[in-house]
Amino acid sequence: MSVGALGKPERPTLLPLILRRHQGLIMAAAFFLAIFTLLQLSMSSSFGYYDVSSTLGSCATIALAAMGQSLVVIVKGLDLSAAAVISLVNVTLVVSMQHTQAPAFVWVLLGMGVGAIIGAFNGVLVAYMRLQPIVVTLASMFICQGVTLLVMKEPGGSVPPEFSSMFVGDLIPNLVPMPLVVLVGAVLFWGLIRQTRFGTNLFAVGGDEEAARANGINTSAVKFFTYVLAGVFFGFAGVFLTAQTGSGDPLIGPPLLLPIFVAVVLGGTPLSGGKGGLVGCIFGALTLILTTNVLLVMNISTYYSTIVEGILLILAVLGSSISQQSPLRRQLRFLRDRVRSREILRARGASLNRRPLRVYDPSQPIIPIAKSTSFRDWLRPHEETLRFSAPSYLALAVVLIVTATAFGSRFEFSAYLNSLLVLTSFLAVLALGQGSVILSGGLDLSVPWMITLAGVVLTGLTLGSNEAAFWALPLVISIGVLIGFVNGAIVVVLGVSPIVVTLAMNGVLQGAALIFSNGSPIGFSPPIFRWLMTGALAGLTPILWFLAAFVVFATLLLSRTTFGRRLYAVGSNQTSARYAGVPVGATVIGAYVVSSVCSCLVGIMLSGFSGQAFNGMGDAFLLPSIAVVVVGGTLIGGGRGHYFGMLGGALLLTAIATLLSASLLPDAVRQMIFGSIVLASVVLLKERRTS
Amino acid sequence: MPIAIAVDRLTKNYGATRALDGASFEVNKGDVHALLGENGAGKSTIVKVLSGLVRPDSGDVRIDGRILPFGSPRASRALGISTAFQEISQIPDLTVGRNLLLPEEPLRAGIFIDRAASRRRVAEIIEEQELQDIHPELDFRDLDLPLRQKIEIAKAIARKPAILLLDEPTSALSGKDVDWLERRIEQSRASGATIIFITHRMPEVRRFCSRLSILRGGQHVGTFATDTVSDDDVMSSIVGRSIGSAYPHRAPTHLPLPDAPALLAVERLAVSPRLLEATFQIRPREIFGLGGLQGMGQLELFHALFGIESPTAGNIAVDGRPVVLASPRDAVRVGLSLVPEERKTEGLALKLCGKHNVSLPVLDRLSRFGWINSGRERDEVARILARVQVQSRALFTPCSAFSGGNQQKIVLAKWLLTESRILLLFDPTRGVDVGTKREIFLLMHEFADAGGAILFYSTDTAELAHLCDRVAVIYRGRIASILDGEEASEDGILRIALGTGSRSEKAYEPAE
Repeated sequence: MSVGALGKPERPTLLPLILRRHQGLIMAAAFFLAIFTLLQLSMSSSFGYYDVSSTLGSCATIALAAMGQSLVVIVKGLDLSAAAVISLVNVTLVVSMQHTQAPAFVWVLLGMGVGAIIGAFNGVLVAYMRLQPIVVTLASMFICQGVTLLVMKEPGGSVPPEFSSMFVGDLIPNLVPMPLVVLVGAVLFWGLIRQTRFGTNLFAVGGDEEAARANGINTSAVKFFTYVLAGVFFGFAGVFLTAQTGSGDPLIGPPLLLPIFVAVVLGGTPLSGGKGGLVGCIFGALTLILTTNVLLVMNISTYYSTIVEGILLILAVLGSSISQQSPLRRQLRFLRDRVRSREILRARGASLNRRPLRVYDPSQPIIPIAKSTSFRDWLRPHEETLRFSAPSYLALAVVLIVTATAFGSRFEFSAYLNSLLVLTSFLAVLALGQGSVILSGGLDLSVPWMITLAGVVLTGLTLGSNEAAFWALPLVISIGVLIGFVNGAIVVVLGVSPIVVTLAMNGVLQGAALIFSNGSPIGFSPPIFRWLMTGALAGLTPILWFLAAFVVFATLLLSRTTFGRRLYAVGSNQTSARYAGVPVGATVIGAYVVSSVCSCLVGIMLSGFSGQAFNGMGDAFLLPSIAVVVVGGTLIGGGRGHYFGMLGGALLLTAIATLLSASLLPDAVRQMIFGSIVLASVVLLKERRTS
Repeated sequence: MPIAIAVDRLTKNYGATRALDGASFEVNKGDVHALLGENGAGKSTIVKVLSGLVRPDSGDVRIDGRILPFGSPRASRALGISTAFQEISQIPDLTVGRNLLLPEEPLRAGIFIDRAASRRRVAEIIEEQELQDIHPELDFRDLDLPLRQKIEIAKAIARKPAILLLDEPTSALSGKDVDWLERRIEQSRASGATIIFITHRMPEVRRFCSRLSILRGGQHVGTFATDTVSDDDVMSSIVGRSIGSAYPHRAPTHLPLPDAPALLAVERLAVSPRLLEATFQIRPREIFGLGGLQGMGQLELFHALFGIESPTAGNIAVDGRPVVLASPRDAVRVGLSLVPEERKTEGLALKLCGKHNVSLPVLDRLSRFGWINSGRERDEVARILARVQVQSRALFTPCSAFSGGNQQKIVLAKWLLTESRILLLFDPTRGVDVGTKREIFLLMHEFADAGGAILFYSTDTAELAHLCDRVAVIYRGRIASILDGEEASEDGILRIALGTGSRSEKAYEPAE
């Protein structure tokens, strides 16, 4: 039975249809033209050949990487390892070039090959083992970073000038710069892909995976090859970067991750998958580079660049969702209704529930589910918790035994335990924050610079004075509450994906910390915090007493409060939670607030531990904060997990780190091991498949 | 006659839900074979097994004597199986033309898509499937539901399959389109296809199918030649007993008081574009039915009443006072409860245990300053679970471990615990076994007897006719009629639901 007025189907006018189909690309180009005009107006000289060439040169790496990322995004995936692949290719090329001579195409193939291998690794885990792209690529990102550091410890080396000029020189001097050729080549390559069945299947899988499968498309193969192809793009971006910078730098990649996502979204590929394209990425990257140039022209410090990138990312995501059923408009309508509903509820003063309707007799005793004393019965409610927490404690026991054996007679258990627990305290606190967000179904990538900002602000304000700590501490915590609130509010009200929001927020916080400290943090941690982390109280480091209290608090918060209960409900199934009257928005915002506050606490503890704060001190905590949660049996995506398990994860990872730092293995190995542990635990703790 | 499809002892479990329980039947070559059964009887699971989307736990299927490899859509296609799915399986953001060709667009040089050949092929399909009213360059998402369904069907037929599976192909089609389908089926048969046709509508079975098989609870009940069985026999085979006994009797002393003030009053409520106008009142002790074909605005009405969507016009009054419901939380607060359409995605958090699901709406009552009194929580949940006859292990076991019927009872327990006076039930018996259905009906009676008001939508017209005090029938977004007493028979409801009561449009003749 047909619904609504059908009438005669009209012959469609195709122009609006085509416009809509390419809306993303058109918007990307328009955005680029706008920023280009703005730059022209604010510059004294006009844009010459040299400017064109250098602008293209500096945007090509991001554009190429964003093209790869767009591919993954089109199949509804996400590749966080993109930037790490770029650094890995960079150092691999530079180191190999020191030893061997080879024609340039060999180096290009090597770079793309390295990318393809990592892409294949991601692809197998995502497409065939059906793990979540976020976890997989986060882990491979850290593994790549570890390998990168193994290949090259410090920036250095150089590449032959002929190699550089192949990519950043001119094809025809003063007419066609090489970067343009490279980008046009990439666009043509994409054009070829679009002409194949794979090109159609990409969009089919991203648009509706089940439908694609029902149509006989091998969805796993499509996803696998997408990750491989994306890896090739990342690899090529690494090759280009190497030619452009002319040297190796193991740390060049990570700061590119944010710009890559900005370029993807500005380029008109929505993160929801199934739509978009690769051409827009070039406009996206150009817009980004020109924006930085506008800042330069306007004499604004480069500290602001990550802030601008972060804000651009959020705006671009919002812009791309405007034509769809805008979450903002829905929220405004909701607010209007809410005001009216509150007025009416207040005016009524009473609700129906004052006269409860019972179809059961509340005085009737319950069929006794006997308060049995048997161990099995006591265990039953906790069975799941134990099943998923136990592995981390078992592994911990193994690591402790190995440590004791390795140290032999020099092993002093009480001293070891004390220092292990002190070091664990950072991750134990972070675990509650990251854990809450993950339980709610999100992810908080703003942890690193929230930690740093808190540390920098605290030491900068107190300048090592205990008295100042009295007002500085609440101030720092309030900043945390505010940031968490903003994170949560954007996720809830604007409906932007948590990864995007917190990635952008991390950029904003980075800018804020740099601006506040003017590049190099000053001051010292107040003595009280130094005492807390390094002193002694009743035979133990004082923080341990607080840690004990914190563990009790965290466990009860998640398991015995309405907030905790609702967190699980929201993470497990947001719709059913909403339909059960759970205030979903408030609960999600609460989770982000908890996370930011926990990060602040860690920032304060860290600066107390080392006596002062330094920029980037939080960077090492992102993966571990997620790792401990996952290792502790929590499900990424929400709904399952327990603080007891997360604590086990924190102890395990810290014990491993301690063991490694005592051995002669380089620090890089630690990142690789952490990444592998995360992967291993998502594989091992995966729920048995029911379908 | 040679056998085209032989299904042998197929079994499939989803967690605790048994979708197929050793079903076996055979389909003759060249037949149009109807597959009938209640919702949840296993029809769609069979289609998905044959299409390679679902891998059964045991059993096997032979197509023309050859074993069908399970779990591979491509293997199924290679054996000539082609399916028009109930949940339409086209890609919304691709054009109609590309969807028609997916995933086998014509190639040039073995790699690149041949655009010219593609266009020709699409034009051919459109010509031969009589789809001239659809432009191939439109995006699939721009089509309305009947056109989408026609594309789904046409695409399956255009592949010239040996086996054609049509899973409820008429659910969105009206009279003219059903005629179109008849021509398609003829066309396909003429080119040698064997067809399995799934539907709920007996007239269509009589029109299209020569034989029919009935499934119940995942088992095969019987296969008959269509002209040897009466509708009543088929119906009782489908439900497994004579129809009347499925519905408990309600004591006449508990019938709603005719002049009691309305508990829920809805006035000119609209949620554009689907729901245009709904006005009705439900009194205490009343079970108020809502009938109509799917997608006529029922869902929007329920959503507006529970604060999920905001109405574009109209008023809602609860207990005589106007309310504005900005969210389900508001609805729960003023005393409304909703058993939603999809219990697995809307009704329950399957990963969580029963206790955490059931206590969710009343957490505020069970806690002080955010601290949950867990002893009281356990006691109250245990008591209400016992009331709806769910085992107490549901307290600590994830809801995914329970069958559909038990899950629905946990949903009901959740709302009974809120002690609200108004219960909104959206198709609560879908995919629920017969025994549990009866338990749910009894609970509905008891809720109404205690003074509650129930708004009850069901896709099963018989339930409406047997359980409700009054039935409002919705047609094209408006309440076309509110039927009372004798009028509210299956026949009366269906007549208005099909629009034959008020309009002259010819749908199809309902079963006599």
